[in-house]
Amino acid sequence: MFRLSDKGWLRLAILTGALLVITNLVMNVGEEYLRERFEGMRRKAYFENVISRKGLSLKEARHWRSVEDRENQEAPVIK
Amino acid sequence: MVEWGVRDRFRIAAQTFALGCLVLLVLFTVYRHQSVKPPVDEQTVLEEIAPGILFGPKGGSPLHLEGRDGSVAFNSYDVTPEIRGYAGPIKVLVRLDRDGNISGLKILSHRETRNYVHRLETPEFLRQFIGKSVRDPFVLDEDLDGISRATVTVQAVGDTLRESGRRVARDALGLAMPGPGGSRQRLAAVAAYGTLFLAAVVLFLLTKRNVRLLRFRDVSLLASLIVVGLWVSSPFSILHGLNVIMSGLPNYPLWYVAVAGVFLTFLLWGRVYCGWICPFGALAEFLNRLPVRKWHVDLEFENRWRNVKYLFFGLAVLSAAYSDSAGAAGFETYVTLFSRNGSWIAWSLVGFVLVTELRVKRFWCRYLCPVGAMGGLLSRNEPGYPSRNDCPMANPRIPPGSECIRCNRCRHSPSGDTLSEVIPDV
Repeated sequence: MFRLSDKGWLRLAILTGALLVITNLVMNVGEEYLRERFEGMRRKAYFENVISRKGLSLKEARHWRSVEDRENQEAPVIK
Repeated sequence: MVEWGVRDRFRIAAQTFALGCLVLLVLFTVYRHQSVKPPVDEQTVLEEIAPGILFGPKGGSPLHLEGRDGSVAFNSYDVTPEIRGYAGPIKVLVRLDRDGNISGLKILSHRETRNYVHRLETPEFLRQFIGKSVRDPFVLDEDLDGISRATVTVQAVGDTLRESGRRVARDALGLAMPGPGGSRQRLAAVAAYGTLFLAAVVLFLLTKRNVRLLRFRDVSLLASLIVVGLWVSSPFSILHGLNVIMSGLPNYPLWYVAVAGVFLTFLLWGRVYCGWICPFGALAEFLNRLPVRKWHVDLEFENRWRNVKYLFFGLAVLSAAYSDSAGAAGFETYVTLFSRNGSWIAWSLVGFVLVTELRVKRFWCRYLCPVGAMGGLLSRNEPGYPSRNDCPMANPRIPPGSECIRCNRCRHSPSGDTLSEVIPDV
């Protein structure tokens, strides 16, 4: 049968705690830093592939997109 | 007899690593403050909060933008940069109509701890400000709905909107405005926290001389659990310390009680906060009194493994430095538990630690706590704390100052009487 001494159990507990702490920190860095970077890359790709091809500036594109979104929301549903 | 400190090279190495990480954080922060950051595109945000309305260029005193419809918009940071939350100013782009009512707003940036303010930027929270007059008091739980356990930050948003809004309404719109306002709940929290903190420190000092008062330590711990943990939800966290380095000093009084007070006690008397005020330490100590068999380990084990907390402290500091955000250093169980918010992994850590506390005296404080590490770095060795069998930290004989939480039990032990000659229970 698998048996551990008190020292062994405590060592296991500290290592488990350590694993959880490190995972926590890695997730924090991912959320605070890497997500921002990925979002930036995604927006850049959208700008290069969609907006700049239409010859619009980023500001103009945002304006027309919000107008388009509003019109789509307000449009009556035809059944 | 083997005494603690014979093999202290592990501790010195771990503490040096932690200090090195702090120095790196300071260097990173200085470097980032010197580099130029791109300005926030306020015009683009204005299109979101005031669609279809044209605004002129920013100007005037205080700085604002005038809209064609008579409304004005401003960045609160241009008007009241002195109002801060826990981690610096909360920058809000606000639009006021010509009567001084808020007709649109968006939070541009903040550096508050995400555990506490996860709802701050949601439309549900911000909607309550729309249509509100800047003459209103903006007081939490009076005319302002808070976010549970984020009272400081929410009140900082309220203060920012009220004070910046009134200045702009008075100077740009020519409206008569009342004087500055305040918050009764905030004052109550500061008063309760301050009284408790002071009482605990006075009790600590008295019990150094009077053994009979030691029974009140449990009262102090219970009160801390209720007030600091459950009510005010502001246990001291390394995030407070890191925010000072990364964002400067806030202007909120609770900060000075909760943070400056803790630093001061660390420097003067060692880890008094851990032994008398920390709500999580209190919970751990009460849990460990349940009749569950405890684990026993030897001195060498303790000597090595207790230094792990310095490594985690250093790693947390490095995470904050790398991400340029103190929030990235957050893994502390008391923040998750008392803010009642955290990722599944953060909650797993809380659950795991609380279960382990049943078997091991102050498991979190001894091996993992970054505040314990910070306190350890600042604490000096003080003679008169030789440890004994019922030491709440299970310290072997003659512990270093960094491991003693100053409960004062062993100060009154006659030499060779209750002092432990063997390794106490863990």
